[in-house]
Amino acid sequence: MLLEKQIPKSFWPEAMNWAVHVLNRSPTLAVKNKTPAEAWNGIKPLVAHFRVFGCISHVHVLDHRRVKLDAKSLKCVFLGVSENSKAYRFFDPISQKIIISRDVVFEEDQKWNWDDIPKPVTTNDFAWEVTDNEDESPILAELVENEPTQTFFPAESSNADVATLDEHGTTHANVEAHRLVNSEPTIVEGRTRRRPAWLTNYETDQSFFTATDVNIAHLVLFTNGDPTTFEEAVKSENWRYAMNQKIAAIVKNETWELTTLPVGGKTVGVKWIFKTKLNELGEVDKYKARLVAKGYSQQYRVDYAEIFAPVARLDTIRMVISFAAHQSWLIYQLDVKSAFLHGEISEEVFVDQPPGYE
Amino acid sequence: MYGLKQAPRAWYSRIESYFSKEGFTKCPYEHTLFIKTADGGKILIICLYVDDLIFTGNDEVMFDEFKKSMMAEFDMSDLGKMRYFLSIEVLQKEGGIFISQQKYTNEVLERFNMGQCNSVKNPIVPGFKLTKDEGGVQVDSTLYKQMVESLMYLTATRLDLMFVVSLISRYMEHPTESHMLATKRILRYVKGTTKFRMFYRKGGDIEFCGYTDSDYAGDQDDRKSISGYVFMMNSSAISWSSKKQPVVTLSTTEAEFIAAASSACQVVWLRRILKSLTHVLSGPTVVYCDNISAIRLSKNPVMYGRSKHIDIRFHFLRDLVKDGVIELTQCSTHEQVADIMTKPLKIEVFSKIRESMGVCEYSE
Repeated sequence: MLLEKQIPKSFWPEAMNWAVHVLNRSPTLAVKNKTPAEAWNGIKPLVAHFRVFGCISHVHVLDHRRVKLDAKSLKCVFLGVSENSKAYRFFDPISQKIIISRDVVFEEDQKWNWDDIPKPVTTNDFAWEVTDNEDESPILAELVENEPTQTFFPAESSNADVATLDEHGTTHANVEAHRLVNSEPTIVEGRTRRRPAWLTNYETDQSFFTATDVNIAHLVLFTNGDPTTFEEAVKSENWRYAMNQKIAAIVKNETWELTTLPVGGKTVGVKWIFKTKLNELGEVDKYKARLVAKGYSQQYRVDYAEIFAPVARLDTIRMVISFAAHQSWLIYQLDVKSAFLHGEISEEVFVDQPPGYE
Repeated sequence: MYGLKQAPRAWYSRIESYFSKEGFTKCPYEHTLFIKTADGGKILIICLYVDDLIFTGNDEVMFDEFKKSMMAEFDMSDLGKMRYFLSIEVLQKEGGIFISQQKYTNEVLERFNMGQCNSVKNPIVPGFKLTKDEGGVQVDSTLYKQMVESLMYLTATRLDLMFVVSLISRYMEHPTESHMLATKRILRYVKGTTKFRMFYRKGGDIEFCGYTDSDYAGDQDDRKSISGYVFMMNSSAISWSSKKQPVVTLSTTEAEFIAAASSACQVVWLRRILKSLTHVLSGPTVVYCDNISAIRLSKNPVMYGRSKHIDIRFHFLRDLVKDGVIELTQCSTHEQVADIMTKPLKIEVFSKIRESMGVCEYSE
């Protein structure tokens, strides 16, 4: 048995166990018309689970032990059945560990090439695209080079450790590195994948790294958007001007006055919102900065009472338009700048001081 | 200040008190409509939408005064003639006013990757029935809702979409592939009709009238009917609706009657608005209906065996008829333009009705 699959001699106890297991379930001369197992416990044994000793087997890796782009199975050597449970026993030659599992696919006519073992397989063996893509994607190549001889199945992640079943020692960084290296090829699968709808507005890492020039992808991401924080915006002359304008409008409208917070009073936070307004031709019209209060922290009956405000019905607007047309009148349009700054609220509301204008 | 819960209300009461100080009267039936009249029939009408407002009238002096006082009171930007309001494009021409949502339409098509699709002539196949389709393959309901929502706003100027959009919106909870296909067909129709606009012509007689119609048990799942109405002014539609009735009806008469009653509510409101726009209404508003027995029921206090359960609506409509607010008049099925709000129509009928309601193709 050991010679058939050229298994090292150190495995003879395993071979011995399997041989006994098989013999106990095979016809024998010692008891008539029965197998030893049946003679012992009276139940006719099943032999459907018999496999060729030492054959290649692909053991399923549990979901929580792998991240999305890791291999779903682990290539192992079949060693028989577990003594404690109704499962098979395998040896993972790479991590040098025994695995017990029932989710497995066998290749009974294959055998492990024991000459390669136990030298761990390096990433380069699997990073087939590195040589092809070296010119176009320096970043990918660099990533691989910087990595120490890292096994494809991270050795620490030890899908194989029987004793420490629930331990997954994989460091996150390692997993990430694998994802990067493997991201491109794994996309090319038979299944079409759709990103969730809420992600369509974002660049996620996959499309990032499929872009031939990663650097450009990063640049585009950061130059095109409006700043999201005050710290970002304050670096730019345009936004500083916009913010000064806004503060001037607030001061002019006497929206607030500086005061000390009474004991027990609560403040509402404020935040800057930045938006670049484009005109019809797609050119920058103006840089608009708006200071907003974080009204979501206000509570009904505590901070406010009535908030309903009517808006015009479209029926009314159409009727006015139709009426004006009938009378041959012209319709004009006005827009109130920073309208909400004019409102006078009946309640007292304390807001924080805007960042940068304390 | 922006972001506070009470900010919109505070702003509204601020501008409301300003308007009343300036001598405007608020229309009691539409709180965003302000009207100021002066000697010699001079009038200034303001329609407010949060911080955007449109105004019209017949006196240049009043315009200037109003603008000046607004400028002094608030920080205003004068946008001149009304061109773009709530993403509705307005074209004021010699012959009349066009409104459309061309820019918005293109944005919607782009948003759902339908910018390059092949267009079709009608938004729904005649005779097509949409059902709940409980066994169907479910689609991304967020995407579906976004599509419905985007199309819903298009009905602001596109009354030809009203029926189909309200049809697909009934399946937002559990959309399946069949619903998605229907939605995409609407988008393809929209793609072919981006240049369509509502036209309100100058002059003429104001002839305010309405059409009401209902199908019978149009919903395949709960057998409720769909009522629809269209109100026309100066031969262009100004108000339209297509809505599934809240109750199951037992006969076509009853379904038509409920539709007529709901359109009567709209008549009352529209008449009040018109009145505050200083238009003098002579006589009752004519509402056309193609069901004779519904009309008879509105006129005669008879109690047929099959209609005695239609209680409250019955009396409401009958009272309005008696008071001379509304007059239900018979029209033939061919003239019934409210058909477009209640059922999928053949292309010829569909485009004929669409045209008769003031929708036209016009490009600058």
